[in-house]
Amino acid sequence: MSSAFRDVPDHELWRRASDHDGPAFGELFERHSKAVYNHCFRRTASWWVAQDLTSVVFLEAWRRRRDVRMHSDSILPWLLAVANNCIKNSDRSIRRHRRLLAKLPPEGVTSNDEDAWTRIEDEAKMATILAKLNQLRIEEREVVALVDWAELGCAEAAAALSISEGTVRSRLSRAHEHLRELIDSDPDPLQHPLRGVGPIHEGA
Amino acid sequence: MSPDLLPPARELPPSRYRAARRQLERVASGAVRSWRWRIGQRTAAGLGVGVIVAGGAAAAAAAYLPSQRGQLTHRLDAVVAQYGRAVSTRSSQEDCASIGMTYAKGYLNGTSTPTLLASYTSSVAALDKWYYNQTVPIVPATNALEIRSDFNALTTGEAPTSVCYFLGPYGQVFRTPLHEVSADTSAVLLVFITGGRAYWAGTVAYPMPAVYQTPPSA
Repeated sequence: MSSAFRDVPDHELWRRASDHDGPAFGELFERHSKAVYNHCFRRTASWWVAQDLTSVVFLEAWRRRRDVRMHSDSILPWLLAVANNCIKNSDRSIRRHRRLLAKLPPEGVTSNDEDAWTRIEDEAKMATILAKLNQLRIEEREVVALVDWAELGCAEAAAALSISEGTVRSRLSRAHEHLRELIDSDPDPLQHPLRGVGPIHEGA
Repeated sequence: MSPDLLPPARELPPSRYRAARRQLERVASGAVRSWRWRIGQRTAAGLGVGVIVAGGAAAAAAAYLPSQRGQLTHRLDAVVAQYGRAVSTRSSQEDCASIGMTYAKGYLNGTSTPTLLASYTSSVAALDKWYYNQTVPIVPATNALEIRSDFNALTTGEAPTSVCYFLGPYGQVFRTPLHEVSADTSAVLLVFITGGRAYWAGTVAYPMPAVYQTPPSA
């Protein structure tokens, strides 16, 4: 965070950015790009797609700057809501991409780039988790992504999704219940990719 | 569900971070014309796009002659050879490039039906005309900015990412990651930018998201 903006709250930065203060917008990007990037990765299981989506989210946020909704002086919930919309639009293409990958003949791996390996492993792991999570309703997936993964509070998630806080809590509760059922119904629940996680673990 | 279960959070790669931040600051500071301004020019833009598309179609008809087809395939082979390794590593952007090339090659070998083939010269000239002179403003601002950023990065030697540009049905120009290239619908591939260099790879089919299939609204 640059010293000039260290104590400036999000809402003030956003006001300045809306008045064409480029560095203020840059500061918002610095504060929140990592959260947006990782949120996009966790919804797409692709670092590459997430990189592109992160830029798109901020540009889309700028385009829709008159619709911004702050919560507790943080713009992050709204940015994640914009990210959700961007992700939804890209889903169809991403599904096609995966079908394409599946059609390619398997070949030996030649890369010795350790970071690339880690990223590929991350993507594979995330894809496994998402495949399981996709058995939930989309409304439940959204609250899991925002509350459990992005670690927003229920009130912030409610602001992001434009629903009441009570609805967030009930969706989250249902999502956890469904996840527990998924884990319990697995032939090998101890190896289930969703096992070992906070509220789900308690009932598993 | 705890985030501890998930792969660890990462920072954006430094080059992407710098490029994105620079781009956003330029957008916010108003250094780039707004989408509203672009839309305001759409009548003139439509005419311009029409001329360019017609030119591209004519070029396509000429370029797809069997005598030139081998040459195109040869050029594509060289690109595929350069990026072919990526198919095996399945690593993000290079992977995407290979898939795009595979499908482009498939087309050039006659395995799918071409709709239009734009020449390298006309594509780059068109991009240059559209983005540096802004004579065709029917371009979503976000995409226009990214294209400009990519071309700037090329000229300064800062390698951008693997992307392709294509022409939408209403004359829009879109930027997209290469992994989105598929074979079941059609569009015009203008140019690949990958590894800091630009490549023309003929035409590939593209699955256009619904948002791209609607005309820009005022």
